Amino acid sequence: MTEQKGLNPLLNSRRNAGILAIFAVVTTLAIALTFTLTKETIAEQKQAKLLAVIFDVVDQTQIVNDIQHNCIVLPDVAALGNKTDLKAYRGYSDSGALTGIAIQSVAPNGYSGDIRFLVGLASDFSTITGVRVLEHQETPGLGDKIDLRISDWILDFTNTSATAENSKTWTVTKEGGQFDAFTGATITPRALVQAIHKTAMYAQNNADYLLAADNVCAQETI
Amino acid sequence: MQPQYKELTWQGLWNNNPALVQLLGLCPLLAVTTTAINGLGLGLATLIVLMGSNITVSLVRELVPNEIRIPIFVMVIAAFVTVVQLLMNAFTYELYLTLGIFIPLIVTNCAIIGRAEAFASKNPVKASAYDGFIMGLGFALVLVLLGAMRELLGNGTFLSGAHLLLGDWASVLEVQVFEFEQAFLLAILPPGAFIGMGLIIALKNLLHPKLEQTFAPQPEKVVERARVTLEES
Repeated sequence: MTEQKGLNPLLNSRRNAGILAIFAVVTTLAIALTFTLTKETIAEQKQAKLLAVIFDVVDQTQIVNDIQHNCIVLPDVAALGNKTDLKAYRGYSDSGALTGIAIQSVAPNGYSGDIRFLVGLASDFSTITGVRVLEHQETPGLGDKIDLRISDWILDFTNTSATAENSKTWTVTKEGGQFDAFTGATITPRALVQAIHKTAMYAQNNADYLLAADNVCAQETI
Repeated sequence: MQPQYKELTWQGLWNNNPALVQLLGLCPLLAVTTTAINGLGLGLATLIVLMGSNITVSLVRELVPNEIRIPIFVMVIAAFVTVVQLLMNAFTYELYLTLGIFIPLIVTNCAIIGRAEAFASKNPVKASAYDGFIMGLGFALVLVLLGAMRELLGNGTFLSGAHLLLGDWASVLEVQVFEFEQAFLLAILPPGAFIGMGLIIALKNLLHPKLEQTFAPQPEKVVERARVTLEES
């Protein structure tokens, strides 16, 4: 630490301002450099993660296109939790027919807020090929069993069928449904089960839109 | 080991431990310690930032006028945290997804500005680097211990999620120690962090007299050391 007693106060504060400015420039440069060097790796990591999650919920063997770069914007509707930033990713077979779709959706009535998840549907839009929770704030140890890292409960949905006729069975067993709630939590699994059914219903009722809407992800580069 | 470094080791790991005695950085400490691995991840990140900021502050200590030292320390620390955050985002992405929101909290960890102010700004580079290392280690050890305690009581596991930090081979380290009928939730929820922390501090105080006799360096060469009691920002 240098002491500057006896220095002209004006000169002193100019000097200090100069030193502060130099430090600001140097630290900003250090951050800018790191940002530039890591930008690509971070983007790759995000894309790889996205692709891994999509392939978790759709049948990978039936899809030949670059599915993470074929997505559509989903409208703000109650069935998908009234969010504006949801997307659906479309997978096609060799012949160009839709063979699988991964739809982002939200269960707005979790125990602590929104549960964001991804549902994979087969080409009939009623067979569920997989579900993964993307984001949630459910209670650790109770509601967080919807997360595959905590428990494999979410795998129960694979190869189930959601139709307009069976909506009554799409709830937890306690209420006459076909899905077991896990110990200690009812609200979380019920919210998720019902939201998955609603998402499938949305897809069945809006199949034309899902098939025809413009691809908005094509421009994204890795 | 030179007496000065012996003294620094004793202070950082035990006598003036940033988490147990100075009680600095409680916000990230209590928030992330739901598992031992989360604790280790944040502990390592803190250690790197603490060493980096201590070295930098020590290097520039002659250039920094007294009046503006705090804003400069803050800039240096914020830059280091941002760099560590970007590096974690790029190279340990899965762990970043778990710890991500707590990394920026390192900026508010008063242990770091506390060491910059109390030690690095008055001491040469080598000693400052060592002080940052040992203080960071002391902090990380407490994070891991508290994380392990809460994880064991709340989930019955040990080192779960090791692969997020150490790569896929580490999955073998994950142990299910016992299974519950009903998990002991309190341990994982925020109150469990406070209670666990209280118990660790009590244990530390209980063991202190004995350890002081055995390990405390003789005060022949006293290092100038201000005891930091900054408020948690």
